[in-house]
Amino acid sequence: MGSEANVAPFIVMAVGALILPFLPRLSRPYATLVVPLLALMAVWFAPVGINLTLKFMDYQLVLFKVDSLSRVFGTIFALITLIGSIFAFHVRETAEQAAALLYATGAVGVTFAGDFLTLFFFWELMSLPSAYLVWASKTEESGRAGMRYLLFHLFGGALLLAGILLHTAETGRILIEQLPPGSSFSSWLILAGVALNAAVVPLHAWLPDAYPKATVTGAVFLSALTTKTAVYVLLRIFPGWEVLIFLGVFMALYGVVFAVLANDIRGLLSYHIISQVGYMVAGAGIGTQLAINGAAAHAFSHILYKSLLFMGAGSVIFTTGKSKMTELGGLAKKQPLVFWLYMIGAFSISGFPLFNGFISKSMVIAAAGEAHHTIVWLLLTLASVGTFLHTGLKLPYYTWFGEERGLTPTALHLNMYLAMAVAAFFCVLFGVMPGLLYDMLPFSVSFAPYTVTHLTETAQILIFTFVAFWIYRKKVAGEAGIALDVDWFYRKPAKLAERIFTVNVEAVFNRVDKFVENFVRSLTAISRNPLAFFIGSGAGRDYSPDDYRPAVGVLIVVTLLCFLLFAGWGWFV
Amino acid sequence: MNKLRWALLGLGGALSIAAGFIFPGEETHGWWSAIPGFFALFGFFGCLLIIVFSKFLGKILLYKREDYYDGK
Repeated sequence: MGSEANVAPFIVMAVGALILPFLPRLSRPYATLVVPLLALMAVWFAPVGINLTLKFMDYQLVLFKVDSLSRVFGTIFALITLIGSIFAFHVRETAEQAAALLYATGAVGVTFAGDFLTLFFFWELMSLPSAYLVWASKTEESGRAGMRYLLFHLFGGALLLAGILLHTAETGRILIEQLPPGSSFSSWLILAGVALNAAVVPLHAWLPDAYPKATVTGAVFLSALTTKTAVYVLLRIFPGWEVLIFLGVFMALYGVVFAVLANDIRGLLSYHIISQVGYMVAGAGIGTQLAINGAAAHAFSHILYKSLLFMGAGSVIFTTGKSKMTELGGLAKKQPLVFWLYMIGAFSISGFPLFNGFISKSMVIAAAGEAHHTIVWLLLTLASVGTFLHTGLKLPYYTWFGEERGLTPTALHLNMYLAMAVAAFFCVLFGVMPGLLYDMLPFSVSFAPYTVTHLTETAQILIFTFVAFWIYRKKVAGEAGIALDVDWFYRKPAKLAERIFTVNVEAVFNRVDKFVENFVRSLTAISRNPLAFFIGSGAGRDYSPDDYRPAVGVLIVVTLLCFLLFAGWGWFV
Repeated sequence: MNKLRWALLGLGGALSIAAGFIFPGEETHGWWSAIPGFFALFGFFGCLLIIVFSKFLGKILLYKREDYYDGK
């Protein structure tokens, strides 16, 4: 490590997470604010280049390497950890606070990793703390969903590690580099591991399964970190992999379709993470400078508005105890501030002018147009119609308007309002002054979002999407029940697998057990009195010489008789 | 939605379509970009398509009871 301005942000986060439990109880919430703030400073002050290395066996590991791409992601990860910590300031569960910081340690560590082993270490570091944020809800459902989530990520980690080991064995290189499209089996393995964390369909089912069951505060960190860390790695290692364009577009539309079917408000938002990350994955696949810039910018914007949306939805759940649109409604007059703060996030994700989604989503879409992917351009625009329909119209309509259900929300903590206000501030700030974000991007590409054509197109789309929604709003109402997703393929056969591998095995085991028990029992009985085996039922349970005296007497008489007979015969002869 | 809001919305919609005529987009994204008002139709019918397609998929295949995974 060089000068003191050169401390790796993940060290700051890790130290913070580890000393947190030893601090005085009341100071811990303050520590959760100070640590990400220090990490943010560490990200900004670190010079470009390699700042920390470590010799590990025969390899020189690069633990802390900074360039413009990693700085953008490091900045937003540290910032959102700060905002999430403000939102969770009232939480007094130390394990949850420490888990959030450890989780952020992993995300920031991946961002600044210069070699594959370091990347894998921090990648795995994210799994358990993030699963804990699901478990911390302490319901039976969250327990099981958290376990499914963890197993899924351990599987992804195994794919990633297998790919890394194979790659290193093949090439002898361990430093992170761009892998040429479709070059080797090892790169496909690495891609699969990363795609799982990016929630690329069909490896996405963990996300809408677990996020709605996480704690109100934990879901904010979840919505921000895991998928966007994976997007960062895609941009770093896999730019220009054409398959990512198709996967990304498919994700963008898949999320939209499933959001129609969602009834849980955070379930709806979860599907829109998949949809939005689809834009970034497609951006990585297009791989041009504008596309990489767009994907990075959109990840930055997305983290801000999506956390704001999760905080808004979380506030509703926190104050009413209800999470389903079929049980919510009529809250607008009772919590107007929550509604309006949520709507700032909704305007942002829907790409309203003057909000940050407008200046970043359009960059990805424009990159598709520039690279002559016209169908991609059209489909991504269609997905953005769906985004506005659900996040901007359906969810708020059925949560804060719709049917009055006589709910009386409890008061919301001041820190929760504050966190939402900070996120909302940044959503508007970058929307109004896009240059602030553009200057941070890896490539210097001039992109003007506020053109007359773009504004006209956006206005037409938004206004007429609203009209269609208003006419058919009854049709999109949430319906009680759940919608199947690809998790069916492992949750349903789980019963069959249970029957084959647990129930049947147990039955065989029981029968063998019974057989052995009976065998041993009869063996014991025989061992007690082996004579009984030969002479049958006449003998007692245990060996006793008395039982056999008559028999011995008879034997002696016969022997004596024989003796007499022989003696007599000898006398005669 | 009261009358004033509908009026404002109508005005906005009309203005956006009019702007499409005054400043026609270049054919950068495809032939459709040059059609004034294309994106109004795209928004309206896109929205409808998403609703109908998703609900159809839900009805024929995906909607299940809340306790679907708990049952035997």
